[in-house]
Amino acid sequence: MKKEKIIFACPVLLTLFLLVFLFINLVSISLLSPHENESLTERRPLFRWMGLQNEYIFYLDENPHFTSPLKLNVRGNVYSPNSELDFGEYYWKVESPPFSSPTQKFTIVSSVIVSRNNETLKNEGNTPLLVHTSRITGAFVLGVNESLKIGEEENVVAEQV
Amino acid sequence: MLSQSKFSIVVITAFLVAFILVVGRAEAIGLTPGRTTLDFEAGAEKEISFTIINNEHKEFNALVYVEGDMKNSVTIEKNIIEFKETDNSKDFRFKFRMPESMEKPGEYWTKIIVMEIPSEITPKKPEGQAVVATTAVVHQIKVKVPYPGKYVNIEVSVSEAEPGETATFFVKLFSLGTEKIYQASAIVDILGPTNEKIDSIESDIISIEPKTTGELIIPWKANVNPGLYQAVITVNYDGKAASVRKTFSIGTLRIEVLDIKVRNFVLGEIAKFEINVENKWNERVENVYAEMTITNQRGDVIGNFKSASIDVEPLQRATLYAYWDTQGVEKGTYDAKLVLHYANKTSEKMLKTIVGLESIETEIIGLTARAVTIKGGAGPGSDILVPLVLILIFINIGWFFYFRKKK
Repeated sequence: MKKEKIIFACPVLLTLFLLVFLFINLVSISLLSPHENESLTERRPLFRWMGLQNEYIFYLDENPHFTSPLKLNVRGNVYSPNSELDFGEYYWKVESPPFSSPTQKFTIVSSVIVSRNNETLKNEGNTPLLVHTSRITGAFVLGVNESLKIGEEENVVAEQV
Repeated sequence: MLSQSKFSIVVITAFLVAFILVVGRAEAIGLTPGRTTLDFEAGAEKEISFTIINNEHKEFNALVYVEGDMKNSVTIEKNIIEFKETDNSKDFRFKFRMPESMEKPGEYWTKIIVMEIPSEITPKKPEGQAVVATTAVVHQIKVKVPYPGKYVNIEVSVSEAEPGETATFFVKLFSLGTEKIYQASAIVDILGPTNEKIDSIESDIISIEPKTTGELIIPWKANVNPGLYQAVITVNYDGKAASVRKTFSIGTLRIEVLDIKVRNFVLGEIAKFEINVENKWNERVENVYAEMTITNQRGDVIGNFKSASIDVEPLQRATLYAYWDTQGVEKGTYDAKLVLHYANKTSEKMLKTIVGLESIETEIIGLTARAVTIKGGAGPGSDILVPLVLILIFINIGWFFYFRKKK
């Protein structure tokens, strides 16, 4: 009789455990990326989260209290902004009422990267650059992924605009 | 530690070796972030770091030196950073000690310059013979020295809205003065295309601590036509005022196709298409033209023609004319696509075109251009759901049969 009770209890407990697990998964929304306190150079980051709902409200703001957020309805579990974000600190969260994810912070930082191939200088960073060369006084503004013809003998200094 | 004069010697040495022979080669150097912004604190010492990037995975030396308004405030431990092919990047740290006082308020810029030099050149071996022009990148240090008293910088952004919806003005107030601002508020005057004032709205009142940012959120019901508008934002703070002007748009620039007509047509001759359009924007749109492609039931293109370009006045209607030579074309029903080109945009409409002996009728089927939205997968969570439900079903079926057998 005792053995039968144990055999009876096992599937019941397992069912209960799986139901609880399912319920927790159904109601919770966890943020996957960008991670908490992550520094990114990608100005159109891919936001990913985990949850079982079909539709979410996505919030992005420079203020942790979300006073003036970018607020969007998103189907699925990913979102990428249509335009580049400015450099700085951001906070994001996802809601599917009545449930909400925690708020996470990330930072978008500038990257100043130039490549030089003989007579071509290219801006490979994520921000427009002010390019000073030894040939002229003043400076050029070089947009992201733009190239500039320069002399092979020219010294070049590039900085964020 | 190296003093600035020693740095200068190193820099000059590096430049002195750049002579005689110029070697063409590919090189790349980078750093992140490109800027550190600090609020001035008399005598404060900060440790700042940035990352030098070797994204080409090559062996080189990076020479680091300092220029700018506060170059004497910078202390660096090493001015040559050696990179091997295996190094993706290296963190570079330095100390920045702010002066005890600054005479003038405003922004002060100091530059940490990172210059790529060939690995064979080091301070110990500056006598290289085959050398190159140099490439350098800069990490900027911006120090904001507060203005005496109360001082506000304003930044405004406006949310997108369609006519009849609410556009929201976000007015950020950066308190750059030394004193707290107790009462700050804004008035937004909205001006139409001819600078006439069409509305005025007021914000709430907030207070802002020095070196912090306050934000005013001002909603506005945009009961106006689509188009560009100007807003003059005047911020009043403790008896002072500052003002900025912002251009913003309501709705989207759009030219709508109203209908398409062909008059006095005879099959085999040239058909004159009259494409009536309407400018829904409150400004003149230049160089509007249409392109039509007509295909038969097999999908073969039997006609492709463009109209001349015209300018369409704000909120006005206009007609585009396009001509199609129907010689060799049989009567029947054809599919057609009308593409309207304007302001670096295109909009498409699918048409059904019925060609008769003495008539062409066109019927607009519908818009094919759609806004693109990102739709992701259902995510990792839904991958778990299906197997879990299946497991539960199998367990319960097994459980049911087990006890049935027992009975």
